[in-house]
Amino acid sequence: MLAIHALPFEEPAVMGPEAARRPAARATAEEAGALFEAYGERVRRYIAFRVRGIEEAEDLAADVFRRLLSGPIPPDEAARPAWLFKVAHNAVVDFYRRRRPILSLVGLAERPDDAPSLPDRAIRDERVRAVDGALGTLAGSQRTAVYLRFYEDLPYEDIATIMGMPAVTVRSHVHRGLRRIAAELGEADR
Amino acid sequence: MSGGQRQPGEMDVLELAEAVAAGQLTRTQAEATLRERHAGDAGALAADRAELDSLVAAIGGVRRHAAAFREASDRHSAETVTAGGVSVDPRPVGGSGVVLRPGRGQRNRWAAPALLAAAAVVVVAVVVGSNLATAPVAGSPSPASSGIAVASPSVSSNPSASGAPSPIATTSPSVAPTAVPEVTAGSTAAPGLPSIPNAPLPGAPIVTYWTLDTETSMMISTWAPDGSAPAFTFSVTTWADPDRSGGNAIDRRVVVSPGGQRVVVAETEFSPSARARLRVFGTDGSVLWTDPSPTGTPDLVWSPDGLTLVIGSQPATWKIVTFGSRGAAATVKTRTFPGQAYRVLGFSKSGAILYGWDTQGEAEWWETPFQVPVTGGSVTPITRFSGKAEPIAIANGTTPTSEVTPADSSSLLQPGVDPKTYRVLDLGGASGSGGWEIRDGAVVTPLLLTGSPSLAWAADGDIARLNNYTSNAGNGLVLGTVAASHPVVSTGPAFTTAGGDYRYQLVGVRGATALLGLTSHTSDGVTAGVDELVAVDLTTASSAVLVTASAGLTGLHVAGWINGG
Repeated sequence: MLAIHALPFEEPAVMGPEAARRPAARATAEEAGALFEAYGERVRRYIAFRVRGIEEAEDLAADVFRRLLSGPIPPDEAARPAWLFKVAHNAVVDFYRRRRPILSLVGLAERPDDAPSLPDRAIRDERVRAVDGALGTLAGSQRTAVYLRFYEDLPYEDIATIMGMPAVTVRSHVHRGLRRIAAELGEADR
Repeated sequence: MSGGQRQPGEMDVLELAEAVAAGQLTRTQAEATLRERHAGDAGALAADRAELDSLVAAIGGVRRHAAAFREASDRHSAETVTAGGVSVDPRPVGGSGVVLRPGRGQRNRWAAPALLAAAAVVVVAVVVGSNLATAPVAGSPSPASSGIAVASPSVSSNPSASGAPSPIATTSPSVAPTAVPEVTAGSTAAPGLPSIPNAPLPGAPIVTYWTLDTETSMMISTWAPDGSAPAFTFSVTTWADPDRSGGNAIDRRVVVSPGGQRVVVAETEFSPSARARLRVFGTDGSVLWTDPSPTGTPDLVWSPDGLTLVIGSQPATWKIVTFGSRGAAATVKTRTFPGQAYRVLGFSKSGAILYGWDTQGEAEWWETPFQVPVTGGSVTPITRFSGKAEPIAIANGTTPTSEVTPADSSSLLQPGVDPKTYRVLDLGGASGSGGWEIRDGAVVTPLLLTGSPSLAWAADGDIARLNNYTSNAGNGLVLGTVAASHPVVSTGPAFTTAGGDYRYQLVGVRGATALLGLTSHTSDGVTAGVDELVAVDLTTASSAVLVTASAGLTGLHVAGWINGG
């Protein structure tokens, strides 16, 4: 016997078309809440992937969400996820720029991040340990590109928007990063 | 440029590698493309072929790392680390949210995720006002986060006993009658949780659970939601966790056999020493068998009759332990699959066939399943679980289809095989539709759900649906059943709870009974288990509640169902 009941499940708020028509403006409470709910965890992960220090990572995440609440956001809902990651990415770049003031921007991108490695208890496979070690040697731009591509499953065009470079350059970073990781995995197998 | 819309002939090696790793192309198809491209140039072909293989391996490794990273991040986020130096005071301030206060413990760099989320909550709450105070603001679990398998490693073995089964207790088990659960009629609630109606649920299966009574003692007991007395309660020794407050350095996996005759307890210590131990106990606490060569974080699944246990480890070695009746010695058969990244799913209904899957290429369990006879013979890949003469069985275990919550409670979602139609309810993943879907071999039906609900197969092909998990049950939980053909249409009454500062999760479903776990935020960072268990009859929405006199050091952990097949 199939009894049809009213749908009791709450569905997330869907932003209406009026929001999309607005020019860039500050997020409404609903928009900020929806963006935070949908992407807060992912942005936090991205920062935690790239920055070692707790306090610094805290500050960067707070900066990102302060920016979400205090400045204009893209009127196009579809553009907001990439925009949010771009804000986070820029916050990390600025963080390293502040720490390494004597290096050029190119030099910054080519240096490995001062990023955390996984705790031992989270590593249940020696291949993961090898990857973890290899990630620590990647240049910041490679680490970022690999993360956004394979941890966030973003298309290259979106990553290009986030990193502010052509998609072909992003692909090059991903390719080089994977080659280095493959080399580490090969070493681990020997 | 993701490669999904391009023909193989247009792809470069990186695109081909991504397509192979995602299961969109086979390795053979990719190589055919390279052969066509490099016809007459053997050197270039060999170079690209090697490049392809190394990139596919690297992508697989990165995907595994991503899963481990998400798991570590989610665990610490969900627990809102306290011992790591940060805690969240759930008391509302000005009715708008939460405040942060510094903890006293040593700071842990992996406490950052929890702090970041909490900090963002503060920012959002302060700025947008009280209308968000009750909204679920912390991160919902990502469907992808639990969809990628992490192979279990071999941990240096520490044989602690001979392989011969022995009824002699080497661990000084003792019956612990003082820890019998306290179940009362009427409405019941553990501290910090909402009051929930508590009445016997006739016909509900028995739930086995364990608690960490002391640093070195586990109590294993049962709860009968129909109001019956516990089937058994006993205590066993366990290794003290040197880092329990910092996030658990010991992984414990406890699974009861479906008939309730035996309980397997596997322990893996990651640090400071890497060691493992696996013991099987009778319900009087006696040791029936000790694994002479234990491996870390094993897959564990019982056969439907509870006589046979399969223990899976990586690299693929499966021990199949069969227990005789009336205390007869156990027999052990080992199946090895050299060089293979196989993991266990479970037994067939008769117990003659084992199901598993090949994790190579970061495959999901529903993408590369196979079956193999228990007694020997080769692996046979399958494309679907339906239509089998020996279909996969409902059982208790730690694997994706065995319907016991993972040892670390890291997964809040319940993909599985429908015990009626053998269709797969899964989370999509890299090569899937990216969200909940039902698949039967190549036939895939996306469910197109929003809000990240937890789902599990219920009775008669319906699906149990729990509204999206959040770290704060501001609006309470809603549990009900929906039609598999149209998963937003309810097919039964809804069970709901009042909102509050607590977490909830769908532990599992057996027949018409769903099991929920509720945890007060005051337990955050303290427990990987739950504060109370709630059994819900999905046909009536009536409930029974287990609130124990003490939830031990780490809360209640579910170890499986008895008589629920």
